[in-house]
Amino acid sequence: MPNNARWSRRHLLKAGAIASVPLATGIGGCSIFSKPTAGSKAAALQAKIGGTVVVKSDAAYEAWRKAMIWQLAKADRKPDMIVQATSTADVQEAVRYAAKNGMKATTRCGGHSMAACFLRDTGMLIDIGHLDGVEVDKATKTAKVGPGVFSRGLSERLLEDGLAFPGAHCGTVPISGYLLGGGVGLNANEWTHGLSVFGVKGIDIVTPDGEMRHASETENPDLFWAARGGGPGLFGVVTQFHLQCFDAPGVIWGDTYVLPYTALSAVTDFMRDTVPTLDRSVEVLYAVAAIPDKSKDLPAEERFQIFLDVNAFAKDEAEGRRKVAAITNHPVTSLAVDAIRDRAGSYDRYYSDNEAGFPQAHWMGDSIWVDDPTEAMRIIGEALPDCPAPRAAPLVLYTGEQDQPDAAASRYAPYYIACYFEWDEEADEAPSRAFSRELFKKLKPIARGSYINEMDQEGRPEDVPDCYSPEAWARLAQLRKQWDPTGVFHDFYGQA
Amino acid sequence: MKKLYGTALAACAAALVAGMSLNANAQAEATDDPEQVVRDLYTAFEEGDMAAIETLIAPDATWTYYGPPSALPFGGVRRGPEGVGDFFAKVAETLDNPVAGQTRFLVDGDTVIVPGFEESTVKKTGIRYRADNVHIFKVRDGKIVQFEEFIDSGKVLLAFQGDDSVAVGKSAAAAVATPARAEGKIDKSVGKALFTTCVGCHGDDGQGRAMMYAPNLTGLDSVYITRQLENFRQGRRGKIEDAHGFPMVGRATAIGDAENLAAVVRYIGALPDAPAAKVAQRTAPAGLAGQLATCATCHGQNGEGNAQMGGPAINTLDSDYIALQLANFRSGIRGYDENDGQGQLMAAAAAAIPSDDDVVRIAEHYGR
Ligand SMILES: Cc1cc2nc3c(=O)[nH]c(=O)nc-3n(C[C@H](O)[C@H](O)[C@H](O)COP(=O)(O)OP(=O)(O)OC[C@H]3O[C@@H](n4cnc5c(N)ncnc54)[C@H](O)[C@@H]3O)c2cc1C
Repeated sequence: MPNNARWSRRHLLKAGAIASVPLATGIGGCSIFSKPTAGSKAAALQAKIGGTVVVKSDAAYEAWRKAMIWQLAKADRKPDMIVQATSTADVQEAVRYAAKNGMKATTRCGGHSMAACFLRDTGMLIDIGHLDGVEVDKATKTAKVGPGVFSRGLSERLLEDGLAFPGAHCGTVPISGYLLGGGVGLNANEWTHGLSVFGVKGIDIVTPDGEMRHASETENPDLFWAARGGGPGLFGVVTQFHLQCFDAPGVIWGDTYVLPYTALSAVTDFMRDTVPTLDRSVEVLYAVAAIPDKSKDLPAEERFQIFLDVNAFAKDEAEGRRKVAAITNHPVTSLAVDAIRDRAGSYDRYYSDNEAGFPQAHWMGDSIWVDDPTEAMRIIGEALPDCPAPRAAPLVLYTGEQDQPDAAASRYAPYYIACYFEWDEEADEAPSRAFSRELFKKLKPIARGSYINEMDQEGRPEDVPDCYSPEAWARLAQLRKQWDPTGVFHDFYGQA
Repeated sequence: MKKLYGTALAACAAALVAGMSLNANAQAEATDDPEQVVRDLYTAFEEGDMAAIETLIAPDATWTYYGPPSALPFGGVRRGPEGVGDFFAKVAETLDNPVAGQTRFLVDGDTVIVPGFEESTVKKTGIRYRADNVHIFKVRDGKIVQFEEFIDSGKVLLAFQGDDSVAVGKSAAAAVATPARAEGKIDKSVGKALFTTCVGCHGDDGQGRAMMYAPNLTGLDSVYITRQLENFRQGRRGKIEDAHGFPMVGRATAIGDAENLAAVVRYIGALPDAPAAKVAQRTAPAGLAGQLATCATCHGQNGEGNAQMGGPAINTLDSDYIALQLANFRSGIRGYDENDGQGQLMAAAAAAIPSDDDVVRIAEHYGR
């Protein structure tokens, strides 16, 4: 069945005879307007907040639950209560309420977590996607940004003041969960020690007692330490980020090369040997993807292609050309079967181009950090032809050798390797997930841990601690005890 | 390789997008496949494509709606394309805002079984009913030879007889008009839930976010919003070259079925209107009187929109957004699909604007 058949429910009307019948006015009438049952839990909280409280007995509960997850594969977990906050005061009320009523809370912002790690079977889910302020101080090159602001919007807004911040590679990722989990961001190699979270200079956080606190290097430094990387297991709700910004590039100068699959080891060697010699502001990644409509029976060389993407954050064209010269002159690029060269890009172009690569589909992902991509890509390359997911895309990004500040974000190596799997039919889901799990179990021994934000928390919950150094994991647990002694917030996904 | 996008990830797009609505919406060609024939018929209904309906229905086909013709004018057995025309004429005479959706297409040899629903307002009683139904088609040689609609016609009959125990949405329709909070009532509708995904780009209250290139949605006619969402879902808008429209293909598709679509449109319709530009107080740009007159025909004198003509309000849009859309219409990025009649009209009108400078002047005249 074509993919769209499941989604397009055509309206049977507008036949010639009734051509003037309007489509939407008064379509269906079952909007759920209701007061929460008097005296119920929901009613008590609803009375205090400007947002919306939804409980399991509400007719639209299922729609709300599913709407919390951005992608199309909807994890089947059901929190007791969903609170869509519209202000920081709402968040405080919700946390106090959860504490008082013994409901364990989690936070959801953009719902982009591929594992939907925010969705739990009990307790309260606090949706903070509406907290969307942006305040820029051009003089100090800082910005106060609400968690719900999308990476693309932030970059456009900062550009107005000649500034930039390393946002996610896909424009619709809000900064919230992205930053709190670490943030593999655009030009983070040059700007923020390889992870965007190191551009966070402070946070405002609602702690388990419902108080609003500021945390930074000097104020509540232990909370600050935890928030810089501890995201999906954080014992609080961050309502604002204080960001250090950078001078915006005049141009994002770059090339994209399409290489045959036979060039896989050559590209990997190039990633290993040449890319680290480049200026930090040159971001290089490659991805492997199936060529559309090729039969699975064909040999791998005929089914897959490699896309090598280069972006130099530069003052101007001349600087951009200089920065990427070592690539344009490299023999690996002469293997290209197609290419876009000399792209004078911008954030707008980057995010527009990237949109199609991240469709709102049924998907999952997993990731590792490695010092050297060779062995990992050998393993992935070997497994890929047997991947049951209709679309699978391994990706290798160089994020640089770094000397990082001490923070919960403690797993890192210069190469980030992720695999994304996408399917349309339910029947493909379980095999795709099993394939990914098996592949990453194989990769684990050669990895320096995984990246929590793109880790298969549902498939490998036992490896969630491996997204942190043993010391950081222990310290997170100790800080949780200290800040959240009664357990107002859920622990990391899948942890007791 | 036909297309090359800017980055590696985007390039995976070539693979990832394949199979999404863009590809899947290639125009149907004449086919003998029973399921496709039936799908083509639904499409033809949707497009009001009488010519296609005529070719899809065999001259001697029977068209049956089980229900008493004496009370339900569209009930009974009819024959051939003319009979089908008469069926819809009777529907149009007696029902307002008929909406239907299909949930599945089950094929058994030459028979296609389509469970779905229908929802309509009976003109003479004002009662809106909703009934589940099953359509059973028999297809031979690429033509429909038999159609049967099994529906809870008892419910339909009660709606015709003025029995509002079968009415849907009365209270909901009333509630839409009043702001949710006014009476301590909280909107927890499916539409509001679905709108969660919209806020990042279109704003918490649908007011638009320039930094996301996303327009204000408030104050727009619901028919227009529905049409655009359908356009995105059906590949009639948002091709990949439409950098800021393309993301909507995925979002509109993810809304889900027709009921969900209606729910989110209804929610948007109830949001408080963002302020409109005071176009009446502006001096019209010189030398463009003819152009502005064309705009006014469908969009109103001051860009307030004209629902009758299918023209949305434009005085609630940012001028940058208007300019971008005009440019898109001029370059074939929007209004390119022959099934997007209104879009094609706009493409023709936009093509007549003398220059790119004039595009900007017109956009600034109407926009915020
Ligand atoms: C299309 C797409 C592209 C992506 N691209 C990138 C990329 O380029 N780089 C990258 O690093 N990652 C990327 N990711 C992964 C992304 O960083 C994570 O999915 C992240 O969780 C998204 O943030 P969110 O606000 O949607 O989090 P959600 O999914 O809403 O929440 C995830 C978890 O974060 C915690 N959390 C979120 N916000 C708060 C808060 N304010 N206070 C306390 N806890 C909070 C919660 O515990 C929650 O369980 C991408 C994901 C997708 C779907």
